[in-house]
Amino acid sequence: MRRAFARVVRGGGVPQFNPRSLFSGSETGFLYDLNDPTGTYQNGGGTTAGAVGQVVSVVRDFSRPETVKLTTLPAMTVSATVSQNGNVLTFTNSPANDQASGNPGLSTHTFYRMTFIIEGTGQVLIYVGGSPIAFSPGTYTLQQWFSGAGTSFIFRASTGGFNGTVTFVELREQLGNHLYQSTSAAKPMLRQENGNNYLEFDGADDSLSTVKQVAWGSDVIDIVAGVQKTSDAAIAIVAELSADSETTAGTFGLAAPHSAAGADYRFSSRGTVLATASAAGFTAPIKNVLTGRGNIAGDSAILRVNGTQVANVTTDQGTGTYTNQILYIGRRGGSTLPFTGRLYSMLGIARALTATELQQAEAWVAAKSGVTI
Amino acid sequence: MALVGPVNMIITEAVKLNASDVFTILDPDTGGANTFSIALSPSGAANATHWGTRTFLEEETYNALKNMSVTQFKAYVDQVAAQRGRTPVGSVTAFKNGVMLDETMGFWDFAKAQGLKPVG
Repeated sequence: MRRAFARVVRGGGVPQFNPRSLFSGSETGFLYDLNDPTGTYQNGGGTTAGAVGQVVSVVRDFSRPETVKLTTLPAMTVSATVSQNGNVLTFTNSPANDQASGNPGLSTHTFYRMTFIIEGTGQVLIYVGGSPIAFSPGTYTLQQWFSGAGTSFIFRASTGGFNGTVTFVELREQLGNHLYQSTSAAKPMLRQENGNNYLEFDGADDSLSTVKQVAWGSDVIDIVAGVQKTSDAAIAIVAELSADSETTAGTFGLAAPHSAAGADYRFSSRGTVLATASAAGFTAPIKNVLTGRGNIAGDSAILRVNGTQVANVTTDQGTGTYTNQILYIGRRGGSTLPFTGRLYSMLGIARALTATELQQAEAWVAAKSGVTI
Repeated sequence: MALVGPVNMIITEAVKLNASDVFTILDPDTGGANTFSIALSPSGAANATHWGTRTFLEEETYNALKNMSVTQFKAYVDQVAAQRGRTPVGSVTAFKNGVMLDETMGFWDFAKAQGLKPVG
């Protein structure tokens, strides 16, 4: 039933609610806030912040907090002109490329932020898993995305050499279900409408994924997404756990549309049996806040549009929890059923939100999407 | 980085390996080998006879694809490989002569114009 009042919410219209609070119990999930200036990155090195009109390689998951991973520099492998004393690396008239390197046990597809102090003459190239960045003497905090390729920790004398010290202060880590795309042709474009950022999916080959499996560990999912579909021509995947939620046990999916020329939306939930909640009458181009609520043991699959329930299916979903799978955005398995349209912001959580939380989450996504609910 | 596009490109299955080698170099990121990821065939049935992509390109790469001869394009790809520390490709001839390129249509209209449908 549609609420008796309407709330007009635009960018920043609900300042009291912070969606990160939904995850305060360390619930599994994801929170993609495209308006956060640290929420998107253009390259796989994670070194260039997202900018409107540029393609997006990494979307940060804010559902997990940043934590201190290291305050002590591990033993490093050093060149002849470099020595280590605890957290201090001393470069003695080091020529270019002399270095200290090591592996402090970084996790792949994770954000890191390292603070360090450089004193001396020359420049030092520093990697925290990502691309090398050159630093002159000073105090810095370097944030990088570690895709898992290459050596994870390097302090290297830059062109012209370096004479001085690098003092490691701390390394912070943000785990989570960050989204990644390393193929430029398949990266969605970051664009903006009325102050709201969105990802534009081209309906051909754009997609993102968590790359590594999401350990959902629950048989409950609440997912809320701000979506504008611009075509009803073919089935299109907005978000899907696994490479095919139709046939894979323990999965969920959100499609816009789900039938060719059907002008519909569909949320699916599957234990060992598929249950689908769909609703027609949403002809592209159209922008909505879509909510899917799945509960395998409870045999419930609910689809809400703009805060109003439009489908409630109680088909037996069989047994089990949502299984450990890769989360795909914009394309089934990164290869078929491409989504044509915009994704504004999205969150998903492995528990049933309370009525108040659900309303807040939908209002937050609506604000990020320029939707009135 | 100035981007041009989106640009539609379609190649045949026979050219896919060479195209992947070329875009492993031309893609500024690390995943260029997977650039041609849209499976296509005349009937829409597997196996794919063609592969496509819709992409934004660096301006230099766009100009190279549009305007250069095979020999000039090879020199350009070799130059980019050296700049990015990537392994040069032996030949670009199959890809450069075989790629169908368009920047005026939506991808699926372009594929349809070639008599192709999505596989899967």
